[in-house]
Amino acid sequence: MRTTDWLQLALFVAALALITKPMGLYLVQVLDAGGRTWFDPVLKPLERLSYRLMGVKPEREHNWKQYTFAMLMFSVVSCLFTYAILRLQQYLPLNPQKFGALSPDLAFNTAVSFTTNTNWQSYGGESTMSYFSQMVALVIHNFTSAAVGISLAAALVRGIARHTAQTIGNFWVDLVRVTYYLLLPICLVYAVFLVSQGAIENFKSYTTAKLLEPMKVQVAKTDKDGKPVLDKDGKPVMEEQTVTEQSIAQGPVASQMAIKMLGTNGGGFYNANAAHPFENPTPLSNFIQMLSIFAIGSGLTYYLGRMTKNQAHGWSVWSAMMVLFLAGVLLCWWAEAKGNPIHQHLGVAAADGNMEGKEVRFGIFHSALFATVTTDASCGAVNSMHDSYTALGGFVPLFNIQLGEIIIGGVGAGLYGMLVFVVLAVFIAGLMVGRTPEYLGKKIQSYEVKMAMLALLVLALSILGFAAWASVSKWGLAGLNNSGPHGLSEMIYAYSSANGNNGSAFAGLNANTPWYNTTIGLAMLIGRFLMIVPIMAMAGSLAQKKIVPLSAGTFPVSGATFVVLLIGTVLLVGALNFLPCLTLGPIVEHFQTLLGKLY
Amino acid sequence: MECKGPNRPGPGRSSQKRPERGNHKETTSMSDLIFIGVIVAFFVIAGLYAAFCEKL
Repeated sequence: MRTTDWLQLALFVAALALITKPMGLYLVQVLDAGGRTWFDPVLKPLERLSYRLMGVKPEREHNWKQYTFAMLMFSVVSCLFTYAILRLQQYLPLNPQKFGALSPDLAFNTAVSFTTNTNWQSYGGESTMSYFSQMVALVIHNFTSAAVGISLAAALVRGIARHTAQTIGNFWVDLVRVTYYLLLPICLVYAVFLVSQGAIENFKSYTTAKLLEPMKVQVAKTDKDGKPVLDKDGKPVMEEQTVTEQSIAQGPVASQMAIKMLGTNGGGFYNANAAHPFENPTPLSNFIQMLSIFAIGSGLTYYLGRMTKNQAHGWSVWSAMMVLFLAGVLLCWWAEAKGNPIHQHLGVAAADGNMEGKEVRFGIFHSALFATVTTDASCGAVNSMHDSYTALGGFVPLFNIQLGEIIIGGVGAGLYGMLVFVVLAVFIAGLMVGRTPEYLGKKIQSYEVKMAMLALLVLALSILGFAAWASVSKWGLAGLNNSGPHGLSEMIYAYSSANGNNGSAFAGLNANTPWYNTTIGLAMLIGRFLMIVPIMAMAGSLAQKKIVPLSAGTFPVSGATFVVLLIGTVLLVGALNFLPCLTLGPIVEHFQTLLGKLY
Repeated sequence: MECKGPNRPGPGRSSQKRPERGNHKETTSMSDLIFIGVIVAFFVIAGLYAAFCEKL
């Protein structure tokens, strides 16, 4: 844990704090149908044209049910659109490598994955997707799923801020304005920046290079239909191949990287994701990518304060998030910098810590920081292999996801997830002091608490249910490459990531099977939409309430007491839901490692 | 002492089993119908869930 790394951590937090207010103020304009931005002269006509084409009357606002149904309709149509493109890939243009259609289960998994802002990838981009599929089927979702998340957060904030109101905004207006005024302009500049750093942007066929020294590799044996040959245990049979040529993948990468990070999508153009030099070429691009993952989510906390006319509340929510963020970074960084205890027992110098699965370009600190940022948010992009982290190092990304990704969080999803915890914290505080809980002048009653609990419990139920099924079924066990607690962690991580709409993976799990593709697809749908519905119901209910004047008995939702209570609520719910499975996974693995056993 | 195997797939984000180009040969319309049905059915359930939440 070097001094320069501490300085870079301080720089990261300072940079994030600096952009939070300007981003929040800009969001106030974007998320107001009548708001003004610098881009109005160019984009206003396009915005009006879009409403005309869609038949939308922007002045007509939605109640929570209309807002939710519009979001669901948009999501189902766009999901089917992507499924169709992936299944018809071989007939579509911009396919210089002549890739065929994806199998039905993989197309289902991928279409759902990008619709839900998860970007779980059961495929390697460079060996599966045409440029058309990347640019049309996937990148469109990167924009729209991010815009949907931000829109939903704005709808919830409106529900909190308004009183005796029936409506919480117009979904189509929010979707269009966020896409046009927020995501597109930033991504345009961002993509040019990434190109300046060395990210590529082209439509060329892949380049073939002759290796100076042929190498032998182990690959999965396939039958004449191209399917992997399995042994009696259901594991792939490996065979040795001599490689003399290298195929260097090309493609329109930089434009996808920009929205992938800004929209907390995380789906890589290449299989190696942000560890690939064409996606993340320099330390500066790495730093900016991490910052951009947090940029909008951080700005949304300022937006919350501004809209509710309680800026101290917005900063208190931000502070709670940052405390949890720093705790995660420090634990993950410490565990990785300390290295593998077995190396220490063997007397092997581990001056650089645990470098397995990490890019030498980024090292321990930037890998640990990236892993924490990407799982605090629902991004899921990776610049190192989480599966190779030490047990405690890997515990951090897993627990971050299981907490609901509310530490800054996914764009929009992080804020509405955290506000569920705020409602719960206020309710608990009310119980403790024996008064009716209030949140920013709104009485929190049984309906809001029921909706908050539905939103929280659906995640735990789906994660633990699917992971339990995987751990006892032959289809689930067939995908494991590691035994014992590490294997269990891989399965729990997969379903946590799917339900949390994160998309990163403990990559030892072979999840590209019909069973995993289907169950993970279902988990992504449940994690996204069955959480959103009760939150929107809560928004509708809060909007209708009167604002009660503050009194001596009102629990303050700013300041250190509130921050501590909020953090305590988040950790308590996370621990109650997931401590048993974490104990069987990374925690027991940590103690086994201390005894000299690896999995 | 067990070790993490040498044949573990390379760094990456999600499932590491790279699909081969030949992974795309199953073109059964029945599978397509099933998966499209699953997607549509899920969103219908989500709509019903919204109605349930309202009544709760």
